[in-house]
Amino acid sequence: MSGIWISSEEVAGVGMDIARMRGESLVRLVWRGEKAHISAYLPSLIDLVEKEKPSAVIFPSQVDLNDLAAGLASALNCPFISGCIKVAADETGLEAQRHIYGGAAVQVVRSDAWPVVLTLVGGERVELEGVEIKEVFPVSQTAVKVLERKVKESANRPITEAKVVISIGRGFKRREDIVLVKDLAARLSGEIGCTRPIASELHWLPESVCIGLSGVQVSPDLYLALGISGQVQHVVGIRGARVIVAVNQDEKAPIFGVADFGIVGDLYNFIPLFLEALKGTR
Amino acid sequence: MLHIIACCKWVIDEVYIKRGRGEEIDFSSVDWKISDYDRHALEEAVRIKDSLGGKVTVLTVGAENAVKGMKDMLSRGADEGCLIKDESFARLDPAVTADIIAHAVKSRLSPYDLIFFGDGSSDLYARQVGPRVAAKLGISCLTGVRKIAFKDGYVEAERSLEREIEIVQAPLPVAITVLPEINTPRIPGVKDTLLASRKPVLNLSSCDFPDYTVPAVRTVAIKAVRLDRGCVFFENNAGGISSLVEELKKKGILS
Repeated sequence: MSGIWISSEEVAGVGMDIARMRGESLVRLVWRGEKAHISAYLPSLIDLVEKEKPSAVIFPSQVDLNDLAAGLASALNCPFISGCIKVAADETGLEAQRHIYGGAAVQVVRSDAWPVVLTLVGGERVELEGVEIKEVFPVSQTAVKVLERKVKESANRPITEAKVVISIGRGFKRREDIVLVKDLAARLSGEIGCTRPIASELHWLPESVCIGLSGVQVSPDLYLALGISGQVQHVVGIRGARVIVAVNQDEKAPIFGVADFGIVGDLYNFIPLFLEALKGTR
Repeated sequence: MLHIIACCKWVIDEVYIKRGRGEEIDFSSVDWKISDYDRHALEEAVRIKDSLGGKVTVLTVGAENAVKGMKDMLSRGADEGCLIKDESFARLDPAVTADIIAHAVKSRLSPYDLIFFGDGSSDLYARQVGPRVAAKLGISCLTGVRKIAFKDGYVEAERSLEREIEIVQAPLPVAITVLPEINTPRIPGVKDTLLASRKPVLNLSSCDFPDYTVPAVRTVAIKAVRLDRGCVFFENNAGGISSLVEELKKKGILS
């Protein structure tokens, strides 16, 4: 067996670590051809992996790539550890950590068999030069046909890069009230995020700013949670924040259990007072 | 007549999970539930049956307490159940769960047209079982689905990817994993709960399945996540909020 294969530079960090530990080379996959349904790539990927026998194939944890990873692991009858937040290889195998129970716990798993397929959450991007490349081509016929693709509405700047994130939850009564948060975001040069219900059920904000286990994970200097109860599925997405401030009317809201600073009270009173207090700050 | 299979997992409700001493998890007062996204999978199966006709079989794999889960699942509109229960099935690797489901579908529940799953389970969120079952059965799998329609014998589905919505068409039979925005699951009434216990259930156990190889992935630890930052509270008035701003200055966030 040879080679640690990565599907893109997004997961190069972990790929390089494993390659170094095992004394193997890093190989990057390059996806060729017209974009078809993801299943179009599976046959040639399986062929390639069966022929060249890499020790590991690593993908970012994304909807399509997760499908591909599962299909590949199924064909190879090999372990697939999905949604890894941390991976370390050692003499015999590798140990990975992943969130379970909606983020309330971390599962530590070991695999002592190779090959192994991994998907990573928030992998470390490394620009690669002179790394070996393998091309993967789609097959022309698939049972699933793509009829249309639409770009999702998304924030101008990726929320994952913002220094300040102001996030809204069910405590907001009306869609129009988001304008209040826009003022605050402008004042703090921050971006606006939200919980799953605000994006998926109410459609007040695009899914690209939905924070949590099934959305994006952010690590700003300041995370301001307005009217967010703090379900564990949301909270897992903000653990990397340096300071968390929570405003909620319910003093028992679990968000206070994960916050540095809390205000029990009406967010509609808080916002103007906070804006006022920010005068004279930079 | 469509035969629709909905796969549901009976899981620990994470809301009841408490951190014990150190990194231990306190499971002492946990309750169980149908995995969140799976409730949407079952609901979608029942809605399609209601509009196009057919039969819904709800399938679950688990240990002894899955009996209670099956009753809950049957109260949500399924016609029949398939309960795959064994003490050794308590904490299965997703690869083995997929092998078991695929074997049951092939040997006991065929023919079928659609198999629904939640996009990920509330406990492990491995997102493997749906695509792996499809691979074992040699059928297509549509993941991350938020809307479904039927046209000329095909399924048309809207898939929610990271940056795009992909609209795809697939022939039957097909496996579909659903996102919660696809529907709002019903809440069963007293009558539904009473009727559930009279619905037919196919009971299977480990002896109905071939021996599956022990998965190469094993869990070595489960640790509680420490999230507590020792929240300091301020009053929601001008004085309290200016104190908050002072604290944020001290932390170097404002200047």
